[in-house]
Amino acid sequence: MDNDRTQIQRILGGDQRAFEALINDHRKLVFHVVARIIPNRSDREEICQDVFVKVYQNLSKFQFESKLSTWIARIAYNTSLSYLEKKRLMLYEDLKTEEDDAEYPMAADAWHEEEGVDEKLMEREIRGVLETEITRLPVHYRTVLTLYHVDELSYEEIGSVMNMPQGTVKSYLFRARRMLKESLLTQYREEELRV
Amino acid sequence: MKHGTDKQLQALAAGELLDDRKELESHLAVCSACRHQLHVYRQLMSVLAEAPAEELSPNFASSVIGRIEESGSRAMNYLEWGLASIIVLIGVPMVFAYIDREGLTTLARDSWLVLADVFRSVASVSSFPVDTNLSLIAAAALAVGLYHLAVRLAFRPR
Repeated sequence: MDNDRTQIQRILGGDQRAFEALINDHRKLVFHVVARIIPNRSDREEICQDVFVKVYQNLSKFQFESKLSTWIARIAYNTSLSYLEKKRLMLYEDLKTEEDDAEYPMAADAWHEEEGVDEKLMEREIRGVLETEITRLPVHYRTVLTLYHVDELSYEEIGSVMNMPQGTVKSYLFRARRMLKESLLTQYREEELRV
Repeated sequence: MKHGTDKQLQALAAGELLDDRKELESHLAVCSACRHQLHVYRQLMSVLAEAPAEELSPNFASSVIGRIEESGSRAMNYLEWGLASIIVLIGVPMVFAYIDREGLTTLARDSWLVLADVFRSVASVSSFPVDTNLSLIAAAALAVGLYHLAVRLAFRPR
């Protein structure tokens, strides 16, 4: 929090490098939120830019009631939702194109050398299926999953980002995981999942 | 023990604190159905924890700063237009007022008198002698000063 304060003071004092550092510190977080909500890859960079322009314009209003990263994630979340509303996209529709399905890299590095080729192929397939299923979840579920599992925000922080009680965050997280699990179980036999 | 619930299995897969963890683990040792469910949850969480490949361009930060500077320039343009508008609004009646001194319209004379009062007030605050020409210089200096202040503010975070 003290680091946040120092960085913000420098930016408010006109230090451009400090703002550049803030962007580089938070660009991944912003991208994760935007990418989970915005279906069109070509729009994401501009929306991420919008987020940081808003951060800059509103920085003097930041009251240190939360971590700076939480505040920035909230701006990313609200900006993405506003974009969707402007585009009149349905929040609960299938937002992804086939091209987008390949955006999350397979964890090839995590595969063990001793595993058989078939097992690797099956694991890769299962991961692909999961990615597709994730994109079919409601936007709030996808956002909760990303903030919790990828960005490792606490329930409280996610609640602050998405303006909802912690109980709702937990409920969304639980339901989203269960939906994904059920989806896997309906598509694969037990032995296929034992990889 | 009964089969583990989804809530328990999710918590175990996520490594979260679980009150009845030992009891659940004992059950898992003898129940392949629950072990399978737990395995699927673990697979799921492994995928969920993978960060998406970031697609932002390498010069992303520079682009953002460029956009902010551009919007600052736009704000400055608005200020310039605003200042030009004020000058026109003041200048036009003054021109008319000057002409009026040669005997033109009553409206122009009134405008001149009002403006002259404003400038005298400015001049008196600035300790200038109450002279119309000096008042005009003081008012112009004040306007330029305010303009520069506004431009500086436009470049800072709002």
